[in-house]
Amino acid sequence: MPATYEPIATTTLVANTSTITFSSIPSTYTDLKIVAILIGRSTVSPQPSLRFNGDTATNYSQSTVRGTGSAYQNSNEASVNYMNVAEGGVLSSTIPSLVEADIFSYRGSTYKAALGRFSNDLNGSGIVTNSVGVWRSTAAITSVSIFDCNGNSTAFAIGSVVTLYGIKAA
Amino acid sequence: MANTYTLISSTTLASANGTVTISSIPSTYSDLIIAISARMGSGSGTSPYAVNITINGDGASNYSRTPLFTETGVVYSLRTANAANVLVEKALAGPDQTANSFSNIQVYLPGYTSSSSKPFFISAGNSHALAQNDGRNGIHACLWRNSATISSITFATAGNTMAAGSSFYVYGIKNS
Repeated sequence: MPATYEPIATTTLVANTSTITFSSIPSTYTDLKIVAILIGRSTVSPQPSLRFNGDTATNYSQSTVRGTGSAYQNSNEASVNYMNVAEGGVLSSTIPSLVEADIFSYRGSTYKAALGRFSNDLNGSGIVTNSVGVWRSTAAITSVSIFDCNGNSTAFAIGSVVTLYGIKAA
Repeated sequence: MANTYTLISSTTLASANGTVTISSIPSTYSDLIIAISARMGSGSGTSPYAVNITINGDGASNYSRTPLFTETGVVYSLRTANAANVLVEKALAGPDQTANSFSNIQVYLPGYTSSSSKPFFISAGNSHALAQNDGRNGIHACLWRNSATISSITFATAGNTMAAGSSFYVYGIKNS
């Protein structure tokens, strides 16, 4: 059976950083998946977000449902310059959080949809989210960046691990 | 390039059993995905039923969870901290519910060999029970505060059994 779920690249941070970028993504897959185990820094409140192909224009939108441990919340953001996959939560500097993002048909000529999940339980605090986002671009995705939409210069701490997978339909 | 989404183990219950332990999980992968299709074989109390998850046999207060779920058309969130397991309420249909319908649970557990605490994600639903107005569909942010490599995972139903035909598939994923 051919391989259908392959790691394209993995980054393990050896220094605090604000942005993790996977570039030169091959066009040989059908879908992409990001799995990130992220650790924040105590002095900032980072929210992991996505950008594609370096596009910083307001071509993104998302809808998020979230559980806070006591309440259900939902929110929408339209015409923003990032896709927030952790809206409403922040990374801990001591407990890792999990971000998953599935990006479908990344080579297609229509707008690109992504599903995001944020597992941010911090033993007494934190949130869980499920989000859907759209990047309004017809370009094939060739690079993906994870960055902190709160703008902190070194949001992600040493030890964070981010992997980009490629998934083939056939 | 080698396939990196590999079946590690599969367990299908030949007869009703209250506990399933997946042991001897190799440490050669990066992440684990567990796909469960199960329902109750017996149960006292109110359907659907909870399933408890423990890791490496750890029964200490090292687990926590923040779920978001819908039930009877209402959305809830709650929190458990310093718990002795991850308890996913109303995850499994009871023997009094729709026959031949099994509930689905997926566990995504990345970095299971890391020396840090382990965050993981559970999606669980038993939509077939909605006809009885008591189904539940939820996502669960979970945490095991332990630095050990995960080598076993146990799924249990307190005092009850899971039905014959319930299945547990464990996949390993490599990130390189």
